[in-house]
Amino acid sequence: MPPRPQTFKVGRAAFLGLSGLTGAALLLGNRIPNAFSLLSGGTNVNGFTIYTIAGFPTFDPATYRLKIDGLVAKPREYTYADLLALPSVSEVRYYQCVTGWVVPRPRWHGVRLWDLIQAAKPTAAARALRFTCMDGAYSESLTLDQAKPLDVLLAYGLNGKPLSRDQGQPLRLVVPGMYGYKFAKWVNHIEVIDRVVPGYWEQNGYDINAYIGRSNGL
Amino acid sequence: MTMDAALAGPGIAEPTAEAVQRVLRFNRTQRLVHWVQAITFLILLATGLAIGISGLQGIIGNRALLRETHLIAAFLFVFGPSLVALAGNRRSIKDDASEVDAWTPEDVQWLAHPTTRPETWTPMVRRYNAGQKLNAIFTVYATLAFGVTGLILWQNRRFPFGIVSQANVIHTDLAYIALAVFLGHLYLSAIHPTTRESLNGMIRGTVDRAWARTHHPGWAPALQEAPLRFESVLRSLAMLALGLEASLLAVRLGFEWLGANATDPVTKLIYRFSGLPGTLHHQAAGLHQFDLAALIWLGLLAVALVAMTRAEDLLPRLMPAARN
Repeated sequence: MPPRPQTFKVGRAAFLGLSGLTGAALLLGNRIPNAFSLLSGGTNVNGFTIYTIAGFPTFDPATYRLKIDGLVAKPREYTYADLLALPSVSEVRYYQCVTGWVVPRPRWHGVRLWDLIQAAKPTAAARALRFTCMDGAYSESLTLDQAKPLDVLLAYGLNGKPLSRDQGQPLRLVVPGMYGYKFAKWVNHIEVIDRVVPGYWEQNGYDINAYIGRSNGL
Repeated sequence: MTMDAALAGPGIAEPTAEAVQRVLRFNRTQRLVHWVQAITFLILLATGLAIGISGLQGIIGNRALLRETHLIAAFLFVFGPSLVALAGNRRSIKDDASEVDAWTPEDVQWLAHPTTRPETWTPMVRRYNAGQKLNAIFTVYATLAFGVTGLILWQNRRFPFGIVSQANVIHTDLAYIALAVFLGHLYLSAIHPTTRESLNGMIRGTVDRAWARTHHPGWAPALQEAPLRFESVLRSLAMLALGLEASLLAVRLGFEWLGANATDPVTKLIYRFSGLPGTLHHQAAGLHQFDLAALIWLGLLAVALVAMTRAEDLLPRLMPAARN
């Protein structure tokens, strides 16, 4: 073997340097919001990564209606102003997406879902709710029991401001304790039905009962 | 005796015409390490993209199955190459590591003017050029970084939210960087006309001698690989089995410290296959539990593995006749 040329131990240093940088990003990166997010599969608003399956529908306060019908004695229709006039509730609840990212303390403002359902007087056959949205594509489901807790909301505000268009303006379902895909955006129709109809992601393999840490194999 | 002559081993009396024309670039261990990591990487990339890109998720569905496949492939991606190296020709892997580690001024020159046509300009490239060294360094780094951030995402309820969301960002960014590096690697090794001969080295083990002289003039290649011996294959398989069991136990010990998630099918799988006598059942395991039996088993396996490595070095000295 020819005499070894002069060498420098670069490989190990490069490896340790990269690992150190990544470790620092892991421990400190969240103090600089999104500093290291190059391509996280969506834009980021208020700490939320934004997903949509069919674009962003446009909200017009003059024509928007929230319809509640199906197995109810009194079908209802609310304008945006009607919703704002109802008693307002705020809830701060941990939010986690099924893909892993979390928002620790979002503050939702809105009306209690169960108040609206009760006002419509569900019939004895009613068992579940089906939510559909202004984009004509997304849907979600809840059992009546899952809709009862006081912190299940139809939210029109987040962190003291009205919901932005990409976060579900004007109305978004908020189900604390469940993964983010339950938080249907742009909700404009709630149908009271006699059994659960799987929502958009639930038809694609997500768990219907989306409890954080107890579903989706997590 | 040079390193490469040592790799070729004794017992090569007359090189065949084929062996003169072609020289050994990657031995069986090096090839197997490469393909274990390559195949698991492709599975991880496919399932990872299907999980991470919401548009694909709507087409493919079945998130739980994708996730389990991703986790099992990840286990093999992280532990597989080291286990193969351990059970195979360790010295060749160690030599690879030292060559990747040691950079010469020529490597810097090569980086300043990287070329796929070295006949026009040839710094003294040895076994690996600077680009190949960078690729190897990145691969080792990415394996560690994917493993750590992936573990945090897997056991996300056991870590603070800031760490989990940052692990998600790093895991995702790194996946796209690794995809880019992989596409470059694929192009240079399988498509680009002047460099694709290197793929032969990774499939058959040998490359054309003239090609090697042009692209790696500073490398003294071996002609032929030592023949496979039955007892060494047997020993390698036994070491692989022991090594797999040791990795499962190590992961299991980590889980018990973190608090294992018994609803997770992959965690259940790890518990089933590492369930040696006396170890905790996954339903009994809890937060910060100390599984003494698993630790003792891990120690025993480590001792057995070390004994088997020593045996490889000692036996030929004790019984020189056994080599032929």
